[in-house]
Amino acid sequence: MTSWALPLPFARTADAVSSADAPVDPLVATAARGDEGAFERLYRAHVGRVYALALRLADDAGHAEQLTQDVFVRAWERLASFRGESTFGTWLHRLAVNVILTDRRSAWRRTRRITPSGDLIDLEPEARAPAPGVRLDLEQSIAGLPPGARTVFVLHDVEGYEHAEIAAMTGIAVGTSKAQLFRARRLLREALER
Amino acid sequence: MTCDEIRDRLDPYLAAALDPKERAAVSAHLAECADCRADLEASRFVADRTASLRRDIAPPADLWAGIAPRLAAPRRRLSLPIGWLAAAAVLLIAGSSAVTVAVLRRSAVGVDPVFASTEARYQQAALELDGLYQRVRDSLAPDTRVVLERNLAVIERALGEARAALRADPANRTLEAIVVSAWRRKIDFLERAASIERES
Repeated sequence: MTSWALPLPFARTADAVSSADAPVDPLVATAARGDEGAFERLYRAHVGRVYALALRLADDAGHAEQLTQDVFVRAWERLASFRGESTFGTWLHRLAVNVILTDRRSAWRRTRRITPSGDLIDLEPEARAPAPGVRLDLEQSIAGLPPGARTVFVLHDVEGYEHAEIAAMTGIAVGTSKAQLFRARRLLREALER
Repeated sequence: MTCDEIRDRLDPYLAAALDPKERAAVSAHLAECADCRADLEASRFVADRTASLRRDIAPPADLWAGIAPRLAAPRRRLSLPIGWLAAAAVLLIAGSSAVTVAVLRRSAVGVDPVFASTEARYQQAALELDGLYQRVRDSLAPDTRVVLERNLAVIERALGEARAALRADPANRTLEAIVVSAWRRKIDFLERAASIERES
């Protein structure tokens, strides 16, 4: 995580303790013993942050909802392995990133698998310029970024991960992560100034 | 310093977090390098706006209803391993591709042929995964079946609406993407349903 102070959004780090974290430790322990009621309370405290991440990384809101559900199911399955070395929110967020990126890789492999020629058909819609004269807000502009640039931008500038962490999570080189970030920032500026 | 080294310092430069010597070196480079200046300006422009992004966004519907039944899933596994199911799906999809290509060639009038080809294969994959699900369906508890099939109905309704919209506006790429996403949800769901752990 970044060690020097930066103005928002750079000061936002994925290790930042959310307001929901402080009172939930006993709740986490209870949920880890199999108490679904306790886990539902954890879900309600954290679903907004997970959904926001999924919404920005997924292709559409419906897919983001599905991914959010997958994240919490996976969290339930893995809760016994949570050691409290970070806050529950940090642990859950990292898990969410992994679930979402794994889903993307699976979709890519499935796309290859169902293409009989062996050629990859890119099912992900390419970033497209809006119609002339159409002004975009920031969320729309982020959604319009190419998938690689969008992933790095969201993880770095919105969620506060370092390039080395992004490289480890996504399987790209650190240099590629940096290049994608500046590409994303330039594309966003172009889209928003249009 | 090289451009790569400068870019590594642009965020701390904007945050006034560099020591004076380093800051002066970055400033000197920026004065000479239009490319790095463009990165600096883009970074400044975006940072100002990104600060306003919400980190918490409530989903439009309560998602817990789709999570709770999955938490209650029993632990014992099916006699058919998941790997077998996946391999079977691959073989079935590959084996049927020639047929689906023929089908799509008849049905692709007015629709992008690549998209039509893709959709036909999704359709075939969904059919075959549904067949796998039907093989395990009877081993599931009635409540589990009800939840699975109610969710599947929701996904199919969304898919049907998206396909209808695309038929009315076949050149609309956004609708194509929505249809593809709906197919993907259906296939993901069927894969999970076909490999769900059996009620003990």
